[in-house]
Amino acid sequence: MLLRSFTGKTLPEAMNQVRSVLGDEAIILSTQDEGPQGVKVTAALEAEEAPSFEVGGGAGDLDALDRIAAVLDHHRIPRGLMDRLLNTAADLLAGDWAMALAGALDQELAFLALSDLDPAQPVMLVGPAGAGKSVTAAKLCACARLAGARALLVTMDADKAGGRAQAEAFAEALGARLICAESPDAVAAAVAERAADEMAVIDTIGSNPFDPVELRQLGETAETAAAVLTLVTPAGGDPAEAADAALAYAEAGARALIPTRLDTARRLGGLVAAAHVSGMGLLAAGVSRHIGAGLTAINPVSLARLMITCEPFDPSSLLAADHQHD
Amino acid sequence: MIESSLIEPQQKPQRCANMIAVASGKGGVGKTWLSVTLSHALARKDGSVLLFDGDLGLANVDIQLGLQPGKDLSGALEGRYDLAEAAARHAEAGFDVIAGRSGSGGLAGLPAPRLSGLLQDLAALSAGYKRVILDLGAGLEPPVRRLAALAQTSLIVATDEPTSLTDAYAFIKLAHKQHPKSDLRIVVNMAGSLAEGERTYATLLKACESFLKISPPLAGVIRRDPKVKDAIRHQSPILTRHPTCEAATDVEKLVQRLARRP
Repeated sequence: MLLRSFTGKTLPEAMNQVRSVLGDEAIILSTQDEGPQGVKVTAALEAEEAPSFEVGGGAGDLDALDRIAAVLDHHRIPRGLMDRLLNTAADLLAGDWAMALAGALDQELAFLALSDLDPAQPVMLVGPAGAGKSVTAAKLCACARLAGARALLVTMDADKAGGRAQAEAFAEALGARLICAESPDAVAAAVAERAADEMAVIDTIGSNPFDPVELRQLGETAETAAAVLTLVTPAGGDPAEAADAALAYAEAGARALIPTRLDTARRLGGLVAAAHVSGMGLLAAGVSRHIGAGLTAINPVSLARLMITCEPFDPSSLLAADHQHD
Repeated sequence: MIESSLIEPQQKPQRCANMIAVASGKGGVGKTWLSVTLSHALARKDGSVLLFDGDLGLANVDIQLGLQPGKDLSGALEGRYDLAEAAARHAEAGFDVIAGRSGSGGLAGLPAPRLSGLLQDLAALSAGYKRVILDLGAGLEPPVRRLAALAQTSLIVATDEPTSLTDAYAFIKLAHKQHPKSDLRIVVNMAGSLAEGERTYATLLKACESFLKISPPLAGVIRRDPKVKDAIRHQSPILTRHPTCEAATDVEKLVQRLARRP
């Protein structure tokens, strides 16, 4: 069982935190009025079919830690972070190693839900070329539309070959309003003039994480537009490389991270290392190139399950709990 | 016959109806203090009581009681004397104690046949007492659970800390899976108030009901009380040193409730 308490100014705010960290399967154990601090909600989650120590001959804690270590090792999690995760997991081993891994990820990484974002604040997507920014921007617009809001897509990436046509096709399909803006001021003006119930997503040109001038400009644009700078980065790849790039974007002001291409990655060390060193909140994940598939909420439990099922050994057993709720 | 008992170390002795295990899953929730105080209260009420310190790795019942037993559990395990001989009398509190020994390695390192032998000896010894309290070690290893399975009733001690709740839940889950008819009851220790303790219980109960479909009853709430620390520091039982303090009153109430079946 993974148990966590969340405090929010209001009950819905605390409940949102529950959903973002533990997902929709969480059970609310208690709610309590904390006076001026707001409302405290204690929630818990348990994978019904997750293997316990008993499975496989009751080998005990060491066996459970070995399994977590094997998963982390498979994903090429950097050594120092692996030790931290294992130490945390060892404290949380309470009959269920998958939940212990989720708990350790929860303590070492930050997680954000789309609902945590202030709807009045634009989301500005940055990242290296080909990371999937435009598709992610379209997916964010789709999320807004599904939530009943209007969406404004501002693209700074209309000049690339087919860029405008792609943005127009996305915007039309989603019923989003499209503005092509080239300068930071144009972006700021576009988002400033939008309607109150219009969610704004800003798409940018692919950037080089190791070009300080480029990143500073992006940071300034986000600041002028009062936008949440969000890094879009493909999962997979070398952990050290991913960590360096994420750190550079974080220094430019990025505070959220949307991983893409989770469906084609088999090693998540880069993603985990990037989120860890940069301190950015993992916001949501792109698991498909289809816009209609939208963005998947990412939380400690779903990330742990994903890491475990990426492992070549025993992918089916752990998905059982997921499928039961589908 | 002798050989078969060696081959089947899992063979369990019957549960002892007069035995209560005190468990927590996690350390630092006042489990040993509760075991000592419970033994004391039961000794005053029922007469002959044995407190068995099953927390071998970090045994400190004797330290809390200021005892310096010449003989303890480790000697009995090494076969130097019978388990019965390891029992030391606490004159002031009026009950017997089998002390573990700090740093002796714990039950986990005990070979299975030796553990079986210990359980049998303990069951036999228990027959001579009105009540037996088992202070279980922290953790969920099979030896701890086998020791717990000897007792008719298990008291699971929890505080309002998330780690304590998680570990108490884990103990309940494993004990329930091992023996679905286990008599498991919850004690909330170090509660800010009786109402807060009830809320902590309600939280743990909800987890048990949601995930395990069982409803372990509340055995009692013990309030956080500075007198507890004072008594431990003076190696003196709280029921003697501060008999009317909140924590002492709460343990007395717990003992009254224990007498009733759930």
